[in-house]
Amino acid sequence: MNRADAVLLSLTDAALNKRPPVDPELTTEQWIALLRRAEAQKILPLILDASISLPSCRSAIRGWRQQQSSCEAELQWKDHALEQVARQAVQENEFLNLVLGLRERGLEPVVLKGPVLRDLWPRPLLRPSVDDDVLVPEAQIMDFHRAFLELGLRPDDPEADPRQCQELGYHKPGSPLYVELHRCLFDPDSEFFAAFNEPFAEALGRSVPIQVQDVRLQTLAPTDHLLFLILHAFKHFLHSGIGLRVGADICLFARHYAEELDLEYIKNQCAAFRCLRFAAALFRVGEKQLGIPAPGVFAEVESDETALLEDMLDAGLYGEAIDRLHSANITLAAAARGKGETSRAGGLKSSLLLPASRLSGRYPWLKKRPWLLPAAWAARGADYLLGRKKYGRQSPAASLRIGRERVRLLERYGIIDENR
Amino acid sequence: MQYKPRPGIVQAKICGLHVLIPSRVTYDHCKSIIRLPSLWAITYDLIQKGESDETIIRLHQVLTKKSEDEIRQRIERFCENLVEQGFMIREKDEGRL
Repeated sequence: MNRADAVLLSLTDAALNKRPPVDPELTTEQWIALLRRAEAQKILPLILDASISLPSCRSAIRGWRQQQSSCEAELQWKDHALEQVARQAVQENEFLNLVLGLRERGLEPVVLKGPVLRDLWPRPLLRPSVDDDVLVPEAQIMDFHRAFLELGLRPDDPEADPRQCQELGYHKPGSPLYVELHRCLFDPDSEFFAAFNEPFAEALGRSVPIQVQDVRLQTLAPTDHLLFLILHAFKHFLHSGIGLRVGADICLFARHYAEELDLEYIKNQCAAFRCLRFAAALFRVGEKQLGIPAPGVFAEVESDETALLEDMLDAGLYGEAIDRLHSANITLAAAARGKGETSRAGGLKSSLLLPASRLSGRYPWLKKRPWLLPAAWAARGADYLLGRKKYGRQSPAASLRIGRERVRLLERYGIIDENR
Repeated sequence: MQYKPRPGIVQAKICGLHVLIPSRVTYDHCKSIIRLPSLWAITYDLIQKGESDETIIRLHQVLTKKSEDEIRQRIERFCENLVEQGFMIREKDEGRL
């Protein structure tokens, strides 16, 4: 771990635990590397807010301004961070108004992640989210779809059938609001991840209220939510990795809801899905690097967190570096081959290459042009891995190297068997 | 002071910058956060705390060396600007919110 990463962890710890940071006296180059790392981890507002009062940070930003020969370079980092905070403030207000609009129409979504997790951070607006996620009863999916349209939202893919998609994205023109409408938590068409839905079959009925600003939101019960957060992180870990913010969210949630959690149940579910050592390592990262004590049942599990920590530092929020995304097929294929009989997860290979009949809901053009099935596979892979972003060139050699390293990571955490 | 912050507006310092943040209840009036220079962030804070005009003007005099008349005009322009953007209200209009 280099010095900038060590300081990044230390500043994150201080910020999340509301302690004044100690000036690490980094050089200009080290500070800029740290801020870039924080940006990749989607925690720039948190880190800059914590460190801007430190003399070496202010000095470094001024020094960088001189190097850039731009009188506005000093403000660039602050402006960039503030832009994210501003966007988050607008996004949250728009989302709360959306929930009220749905409620007027007799609809009650169950809110996942974002607003619930943000509330656990010392300064909620410093945790930006790209989107907001809601889980709704499958029987009401079209009611929500119509309500979204009435409330000014538009589906990313107007031809997609909401009843066929595990999730469908909606944006609001002229607003940062972006909502993902889920009819289930994990892709039911994936033999590997479909089983992840089983613990949540009755989760909607167990939902609980929380208060965000002046609006009551329904969300998953704490045990359901923590299990979902861990499995969701595990899913992304399998694909291309997770970053510090995901780890912090899970650890903060476990700490905040400690008295309400059935941790033995969560531990047993993690064991069943072969992610127990992954979860234990994650909590150990939280304890050793972010100052958030691990829950007892996970602290007892033997798991070396050092490799996971390195992977998290390299990964960004959800492993969005281009070489990682292209290595995902390697890790997913390895996980599929390595699935033991004790795992409840299904076959991954078949989950990647679905038949046309199961993809035509999401890609309606397949109905008339079934010979375009390989294109649908590629589009589905790109949709999942790349989200809505556009990327430049990737290095095949780098993707292969990263893929092999990450397969070793899966072996280390017992997700696949070694020497298979 | 004939002006006051609109209820629901949050004043904060983020990444070293002074900002006003609209909450959901004020969203119909102001859609985004705005930045304030340091002196005007202090001015806004003093208005919010109900400090007297004299106290606020004295602060400006010490920091800017400007005349009382000029300071009064600047403060009024500042407040009217925030009224236009939805972050402040005129006290005489409070009943019509």
